[in-house]
Amino acid sequence: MIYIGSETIIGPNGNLKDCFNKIAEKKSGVSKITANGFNGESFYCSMFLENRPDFNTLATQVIEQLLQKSKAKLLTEESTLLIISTTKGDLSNGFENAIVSPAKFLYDKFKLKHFPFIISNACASGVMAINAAAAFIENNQYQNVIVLGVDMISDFIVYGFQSLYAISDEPCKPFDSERKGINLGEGAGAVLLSSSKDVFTSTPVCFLGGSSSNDANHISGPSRTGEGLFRCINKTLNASAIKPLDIDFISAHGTATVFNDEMEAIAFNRLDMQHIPINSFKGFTGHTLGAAGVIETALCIACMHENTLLPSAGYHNQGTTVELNLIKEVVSTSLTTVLKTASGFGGCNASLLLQKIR
Amino acid sequence: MDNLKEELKKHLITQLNLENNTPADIKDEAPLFGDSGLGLDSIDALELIVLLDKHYHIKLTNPEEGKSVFYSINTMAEYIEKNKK
Amino acid sequence: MKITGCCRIYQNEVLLNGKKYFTGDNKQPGELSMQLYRFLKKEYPKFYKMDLLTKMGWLATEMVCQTTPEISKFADDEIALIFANSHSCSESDERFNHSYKVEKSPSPAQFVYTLPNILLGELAIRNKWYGENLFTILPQFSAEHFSSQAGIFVPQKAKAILCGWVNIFPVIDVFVFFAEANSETSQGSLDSKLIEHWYNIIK
Repeated sequence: MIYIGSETIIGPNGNLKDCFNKIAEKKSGVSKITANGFNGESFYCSMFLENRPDFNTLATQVIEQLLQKSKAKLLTEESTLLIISTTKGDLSNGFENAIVSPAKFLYDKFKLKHFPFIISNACASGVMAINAAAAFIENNQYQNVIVLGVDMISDFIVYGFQSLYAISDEPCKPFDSERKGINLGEGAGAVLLSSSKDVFTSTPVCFLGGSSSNDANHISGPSRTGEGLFRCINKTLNASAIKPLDIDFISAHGTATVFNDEMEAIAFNRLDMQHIPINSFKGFTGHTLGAAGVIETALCIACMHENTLLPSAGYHNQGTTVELNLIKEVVSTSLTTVLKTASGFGGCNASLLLQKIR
Repeated sequence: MDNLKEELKKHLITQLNLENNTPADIKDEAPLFGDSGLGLDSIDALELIVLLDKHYHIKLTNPEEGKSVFYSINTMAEYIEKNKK
Repeated sequence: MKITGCCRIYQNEVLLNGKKYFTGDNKQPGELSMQLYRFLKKEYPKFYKMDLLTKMGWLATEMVCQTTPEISKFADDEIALIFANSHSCSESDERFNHSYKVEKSPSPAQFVYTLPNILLGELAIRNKWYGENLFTILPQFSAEHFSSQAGIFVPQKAKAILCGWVNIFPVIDVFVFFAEANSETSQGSLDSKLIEHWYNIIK
């Protein structure tokens, strides 16, 4: 059995508990940032407004917070690996070194026994990183794997998404009929996976399985049939011996672009999952790119422990051609099995299943 | 108008990396998008918006408008004639 | 597992299964991708839109597919794409950066290539491969990395793997190979020494 826990977030809205509470209270997680667009537009983002940390500081802090929730000295054991999930890394170091340099920084700072394993696979990176962690443990290559997801907002990112007309000029509304695009977000998330329950200071959940699939369709537009996501979730279900009926909650990718959310709705319907309570955390956290899969999985675990379904921020009316069961209000209900999905440029899709320890 | 169309074809080839094509390959009335013709896609459509701004100072703020404007060289040229500054 | 086909490109030398296949014109080193495309007589208009990282990975994969007919016997989701490099997509990053800082015109076509895994997307589109993907950043080439991932993906998540090291900076340093389970040896194990052997043949 592979356990996952010690879930940690450091973001513009605070730590994991802060985020959980704010989402439950339906508070907004994004704010209008003056003149951050290429032509001086003011886009809503979830950004650190005061004391903005640099990449390495943020990565360090989230690891240290995670370590407080796990066995002492875990990080420097021979049987421990650090996996980093990021799309752009630390751009202050120049483009060639942007991704390796923070890994080197953390390797030196924490005196790790192994150089960090770095995944850069667009916005599916976070979920893929957790899947990779589980795979390492299942194959007895490591006993413990810390997965860290970090991405920071920059002009590069804002102007890039803007050039694709992907950014909404309002707080984003995943799956909603009025959705117009994404809000960008930044922050760090971390989780610990292990073959042993004892490394966690509080009860973890189980990682049942995960997979990735490519749409084989277009490098930036999602498949109109949701083929990649459909196949990916199917593989994850089969690998975990779980049926759609067993799933209590889905944390979707839900970026709030017209095409992404439509694609996901189609994929979920093809799997007969349209009745399962579903949300996107991005209405609150913004789209945190390489950190998203880790931050949102951390939130899923928190929901499982609290037996609480959190509402999908910004959602009012069905905005996809096929229906989904979007969560509009906080609901207290037993959550045993949870599906997390992610998709990204390059046609990549990833998913994983979590389950409470029986 | 003919000069504009020739110029447009050259800009198109540069902006969209159509290294395999010459202006002579691009017929004025042929559809630019879809399986026939140049087989342009949604990213190319966005690049055409950049092209309009860069070379003709026309800002197309709604990508949806692009479908009719960018249908062919003819429609592009007509639009530019009407809207250029 | 056994390696059934590989392509090695180092600076301007292209080798297929360890044998010299093509040498680029030294006088124009930046043109290798176009020279190779023409030499291979490919007809794929999308090629011209790709960035250099994607072009090199795509060309190497085309050559591996050409030389390895076994690839076509696998179902469309049985091949895992396991790629890595050390500089991500820095060449595209620079170009997109230039498009908005200098040309004052952020280019969407350049922005979409500012992720290293776009290469995997292009391979998937070209070959209709719906299987597992993974793009990793490593400080330098590591045969051990590919050997370890081979063991992880096969047979649990894939029946075969297409692995690629695609560096274009500071020199073109590309190695793409196809490996599948070998009935004679342990299903999911691929000796890193074997990978190292083929990687080291550069002329």
